[in-house]
Order: sequence, then C-alpha cells, then structure tokens
Amino acid sequence: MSSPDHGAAAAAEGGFHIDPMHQFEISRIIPLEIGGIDASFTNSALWMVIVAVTATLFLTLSVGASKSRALVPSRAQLVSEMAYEFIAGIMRDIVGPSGQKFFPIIFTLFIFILLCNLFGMLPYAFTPTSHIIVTFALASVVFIGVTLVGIFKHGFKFVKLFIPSGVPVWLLPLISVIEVISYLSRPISLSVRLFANMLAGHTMLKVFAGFIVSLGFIGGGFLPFFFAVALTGLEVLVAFLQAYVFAVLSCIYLNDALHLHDH
Amino acid sequence: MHDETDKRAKRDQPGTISGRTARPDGLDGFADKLRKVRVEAGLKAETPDPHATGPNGQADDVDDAPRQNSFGMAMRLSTDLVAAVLVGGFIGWMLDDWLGTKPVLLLIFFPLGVAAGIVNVFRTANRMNQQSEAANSDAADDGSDNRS
Repeated sequence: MSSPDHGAAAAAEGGFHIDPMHQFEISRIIPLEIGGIDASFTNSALWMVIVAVTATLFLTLSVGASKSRALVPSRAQLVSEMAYEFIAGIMRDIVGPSGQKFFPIIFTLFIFILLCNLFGMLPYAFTPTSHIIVTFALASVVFIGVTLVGIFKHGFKFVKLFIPSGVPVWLLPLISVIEVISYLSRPISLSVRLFANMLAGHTMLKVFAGFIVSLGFIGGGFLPFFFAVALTGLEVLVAFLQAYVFAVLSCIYLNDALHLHDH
Repeated sequence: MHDETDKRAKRDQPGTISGRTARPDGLDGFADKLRKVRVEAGLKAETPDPHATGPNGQADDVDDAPRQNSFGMAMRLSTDLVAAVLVGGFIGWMLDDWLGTKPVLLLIFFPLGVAAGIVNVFRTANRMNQQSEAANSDAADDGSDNRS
C-alpha cells in the first residue's frame, strides 16, 4: 500500500495522522493453527502465492509450446529469454561451467525476489520482502544449500574454506575463528540488505506521500509530490538491483563452496 | 579413489576453460544439441561468449556496475560490516550464557566479530574493484578474467 491515494484516504479520515509503517502490517486472511503454531494464510503469504503463480505462468506461457517457440521471439518470450540469459550470464561469469546445474535455484530466487519487490510497488500491494523473516528464510536456503553443496563436494576438505593460504601457524586459530564468523554473517547480511532496502524505500515513499497531503498540493505539496514521483522510479531500480545483488552474492557463495581455493 | 580424481578433474576444469569445451555435470549433450540447433538455424555455431552474454547479459552487467557504485555499494559494505559484528557478539553472548562465563567470551568474540566485519568489507571492496576493472577492460577480452 505504497500509493499516495492511500495516504490521502487515511489523512482525510483521521486528520493528519499518517502511519508510514501501516503498510507492513500482517493481517490474517484465513486463520489457521496447526499444533499450536499460527500457520494462518496472511496477506504476505497471499502475495507470495501471487508472485509464484504469476512467475510460473508467465515463464511457461511466454515461451509456449515448442511449436510456437519462435526464432524471432514475441515480446513476452523475449522478456523470459532475457531474464534467463541474464542469470545464465551472471552464473557463467562468477561460478563457471560447473555451476550450471545450480542455475534453476538461482534463477528461481532471482525471479521470486524481483517479482516480490516489483509487485510491492503496485498500489495496495504488500511487499513480502519487506519482512526480515521472509528474506532470512530465502538467505537461509542459500546459506544451508551452499554449505551442503560444499560439504558433499569436498567432504572434510570443506574446512579449508576457513583456512586462508599463507597464514602463519600461530595466527591460524585467530584467523579461522574470524573466517567462521565472517562465513556465518553471510545469511545475516544477505537478508538484512534486502529487507532494509525494501523497508526503507517503502517507508520513505509513504512519508513523502504524507507530506503532500499535510501541505496541500498547492501550498508546497507539489514539491514532495515530484520527489515521490522520482522516488518511485528509484524504488523500481532498487527492486531490480536488490534482486540482482541477491543473485550475484548467491553465485559468489556458491563459487566459494565449489572452488575452495578462491579466497 | 577413482571418485576423488574425477572430482578433482571437474574442479580444475572451470579454471581453465571459459565455457566452450565439454561441459561437466551431464550437460555435454545439451551443449552439442545447442550447437547443432544453432548451425541448423544458420547462426554462427562457435560463438559461446560474445553471443551468449553479449547482447543482454554482459551489456546489462556493465550497465549496472556504475549505478551500483553509489548507493548499492554503501549498502553492501555497511551490511557486511554490521552483520559480522552482530554474529560475533551473538556467538559470544550465547557461549557466555551456555558456559556461565558471563562477560568474558562476549568481550573476546565482539572484537573478533569486528575483525570479521572488516575482512568482509575488505573482500567486498576488492571484489567491487575487480568488477569495475573487468568492466573497464571488457572490450579487450571477454569474461575470462572478471571471475572473482
């Protein structure tokens, strides 16, 4: 609900009371409790389902059946292929050929985050990625997955990731502890970055939208209005950029796990 | 042991090739098929790097690099630093709780977390430098050196 209209409506009802954090509120759509755990279907879950369904439908339908898959693609097919080649290019650059089999998970993560971010820009939409639990879950998938890949591929030698080459023996205990902490901080920084960007951007947008109302459009409100327009453009850029950064960092972590010598 | 050498061969491969010779991990068939289709379609068959990444991938990459320089870079570096400090402090705190050595381990692990954060920032900055250098010298040669 990052639209200016909503701010206007709220202000009209309750004076100038504009709550920029209201847009992040979770509301239960279908209350559900399984074994004492609140597993309700919330607005956050609804938007994630919308994103997943949209992405699946778009990516399958736009490419279409093998007959209609044209050498000169339609617009929709072009978008799908560009997204595909974009991620494939990132993976080729960072991970190399041996990472190709992990393409599906990285591509899925990228598309999911990108669409969550972009759908969050629609008026009255909810942004699932503005909640740290969602981004942390995504980052955990990457972190645990990458760690398991490394362990399965290298076995015990995976520990070498925490022992940089060329370190004096007496420094090794200190350095390896630092490396472990650095490794453990990856999911935190991965999730916090995405979440903080989304939260800050949407809050800022709402605050500026609120200024328009409280100043009145003629009496100076046009200034924050133009700012909000510019900010909306910036937010679309950030939505893309954060999905890109998430994918790139996942690839870098994957590369570290696959090729331990890289450090 | 045979398995071991096989693994090593796979691991060594990506360092030496840039995606055009036999792909490991069961994708050889796919590469061949792709090449055949390209030939049939009248495209240049053996243009792996420029064709695949040229129009979209690489161009977008280069396009993004400068934009990321300002805000994205600051965001990345700061989260990298803060996350490691938090993790370090958290580990110290939990260990203290567990072992009953109230402030000692926290005091040890907090500076370690700070150090890890600085290591993170250093690495990220290095990586960014490499990326921008690779983007600058991108016209000269394609892709093989900007793998961090």
